[in-house]
Amino acid sequence: MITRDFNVTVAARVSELRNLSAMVETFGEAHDLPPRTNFIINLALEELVTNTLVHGKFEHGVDPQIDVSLSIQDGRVIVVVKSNGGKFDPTKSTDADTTSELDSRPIGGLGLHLVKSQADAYSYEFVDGLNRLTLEYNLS
Amino acid sequence: MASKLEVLEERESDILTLVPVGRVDSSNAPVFERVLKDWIDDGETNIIVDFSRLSFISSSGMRVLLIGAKGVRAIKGNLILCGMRDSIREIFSISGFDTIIPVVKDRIAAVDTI
Repeated sequence: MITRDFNVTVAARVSELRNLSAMVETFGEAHDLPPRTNFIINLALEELVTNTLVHGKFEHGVDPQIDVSLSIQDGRVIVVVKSNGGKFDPTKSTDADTTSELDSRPIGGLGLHLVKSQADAYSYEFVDGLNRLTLEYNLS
Repeated sequence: MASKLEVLEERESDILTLVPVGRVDSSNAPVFERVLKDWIDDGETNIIVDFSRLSFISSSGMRVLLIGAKGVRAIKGNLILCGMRDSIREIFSISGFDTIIPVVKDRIAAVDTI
C-alpha cells in the first residue's frame, strides 16, 4: 500500500530551503525516522534545488519550480522530486573526483555525487515536460 | 541575497577556532566563505573549524572548506575540522574530503594535530 504523506510545490529558490527542511523534519517526526535519514533527505533536496537553479533553462516568465513528495512504502522512504527547466538527467552526471590530492582536487561537482551515493535506489524520467527523479531510502 | 550565518570566532594564542552555528547551505555558504577567506587573507595560519554546533552542511558549504584548505595550504598553514556529528562525518567520507582535510574528534585533538 502506498501512503502519500506529503506533497508540496515550491519555487526553486535557495530561500525556500529552510521551509523544505522544516517540512522534512515534520515528516521525519511523524514517522519516527532516524536522524540520518532526515539529514540525507534534506541534503538531497538542497542539492536538487541548487542543481535546478544551476542547470535549468527557463524561458522568460517561467520561474524555477520544484515539487517534492515524500511517502513511506514497504519499509522505504520514497522521495519524488519533479522540476522544470528543461530535460536534465542527474543520474547521468559525472562522478565527482574523490581521490585527488588537495592541490588538484576540483572545487564543485560534489552535490549530485552525494545524492546518488546516499540513495539505496534512484531512477529518472522526463514526463510531461518535467524532470522526475525518484530516490529511495531503506529504513532497516 | 545570502541568508545569515552566525560564525563564532575564538582565539587561543596562535590558533583561531571558527564555530559556524546552525546550518550551512547554498543560501548562506557565501557568508561562510567570506569569513574564512578574510582570515586566510589576513595570514591566519592555524584555523580550526568546530562543527559541534552545526546541524547541517551541503556541498555548497563543503566547497567553502575545500577552498579554505587550499588557501591555508598556500601559506603553509593548517586547517583542521572537528566536532562533526555522524551524518556530516559520513558525507566528508563519501566525498573523500577526509583524506585531504584533517578531521578529528574534538577541539583538544585538533589543537594536538596543529
